[in-house]
Amino acid sequence: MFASLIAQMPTHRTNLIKQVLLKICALLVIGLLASCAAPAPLKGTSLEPSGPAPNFTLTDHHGQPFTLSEQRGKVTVLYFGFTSCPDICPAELSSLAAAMRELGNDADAIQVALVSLDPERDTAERLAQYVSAFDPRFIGLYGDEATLEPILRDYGVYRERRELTGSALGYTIDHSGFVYMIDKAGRWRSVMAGGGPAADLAHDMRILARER
Amino acid sequence: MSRLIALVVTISAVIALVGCTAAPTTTPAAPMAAPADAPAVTVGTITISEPWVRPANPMAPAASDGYGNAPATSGHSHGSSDSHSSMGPMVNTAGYMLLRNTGSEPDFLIAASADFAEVVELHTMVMQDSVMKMDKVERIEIPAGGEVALQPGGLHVMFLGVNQELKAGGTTSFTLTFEKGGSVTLEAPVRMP
Repeated sequence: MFASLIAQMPTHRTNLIKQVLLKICALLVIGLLASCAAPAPLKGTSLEPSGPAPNFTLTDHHGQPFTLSEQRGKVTVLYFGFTSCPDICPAELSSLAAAMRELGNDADAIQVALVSLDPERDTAERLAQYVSAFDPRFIGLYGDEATLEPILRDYGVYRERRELTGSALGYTIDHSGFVYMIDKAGRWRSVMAGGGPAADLAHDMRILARER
Repeated sequence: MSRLIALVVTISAVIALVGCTAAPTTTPAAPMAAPADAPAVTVGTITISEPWVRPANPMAPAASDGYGNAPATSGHSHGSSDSHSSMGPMVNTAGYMLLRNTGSEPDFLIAASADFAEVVELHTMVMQDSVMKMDKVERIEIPAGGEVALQPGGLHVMFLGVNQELKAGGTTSFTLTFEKGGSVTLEAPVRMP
């Protein structure tokens, strides 16, 4: 349409004006494509372009192997934490549980998984008790240090074990608290900072759940 | 010429706006259960209100419901998990409340205890460069005329080695000890935030 407008312009108009108009059109078209033709924007930080999520195999809280690349067709939402954490991990998992409730049937396409940062204490049994308290659909994943280490590196998870002097807890684990979203095609789509509202989690989870 | 440019810009802007009507709609937050809060309790110059404790279950099998969660609606199911033996490592949970000091002197929360936990400590959670760090604190100051909220993501009473089920919707009790005000036992609902 803009092109035809420009084409109809009398030939005595200068090329400069044509160029200016073309530039304006091009910019607007680019803006249009970026804002509207692209998938609805996520509240979390989108990874553009999104590549395949680094694969891993851990053990789920039923003792069964869980391989990320075998989850195609499902949205995988990862949170890294530990079950001795009584405050912030439950807060995030509660938000994820609230988001799952809000999603209704869309939640069927989503698997929320807590990856343990504390394989020393987090047994399958302990993870089972912990995650099911939030949502019976959640799973807990664990693996030995050698398995866990590259996963933490791939996903940029900070973890540091720290002795907690004078506490019956013995040690705590300082950790980053992001929520990682992997789409049905196995692409790592977004990272969301922890502590946000459940509605934001639900918003992004719904978008990914409704993708084909 | 400038008229033509203005026309193009206007038409383009209109198209851009129309093209954006498919913007995502915001969804309302899920309604949260709001159990009745226990009445405020006063000890010395400290008024304690809105106490609550996170659910915890040291012995239930994984399949247990009873945390107030909606049942799974998906057909997704794993085989039933193995029966659970007795407690492994400690199961922990946390308690929260609002502390107000109506006095002209500061007071300090110095200890807490509960029948349902082996050890009770005062903890804080701080966020440093996107890293969450939990630390034990010896005491929590409630300044004169001020208030301190113990809430998720910050200060909390940490219950270690929970030895009985704390079920959402139920109530439990724990004791707080203040340096000047002394001790007081609170009834607190068990709930998710």
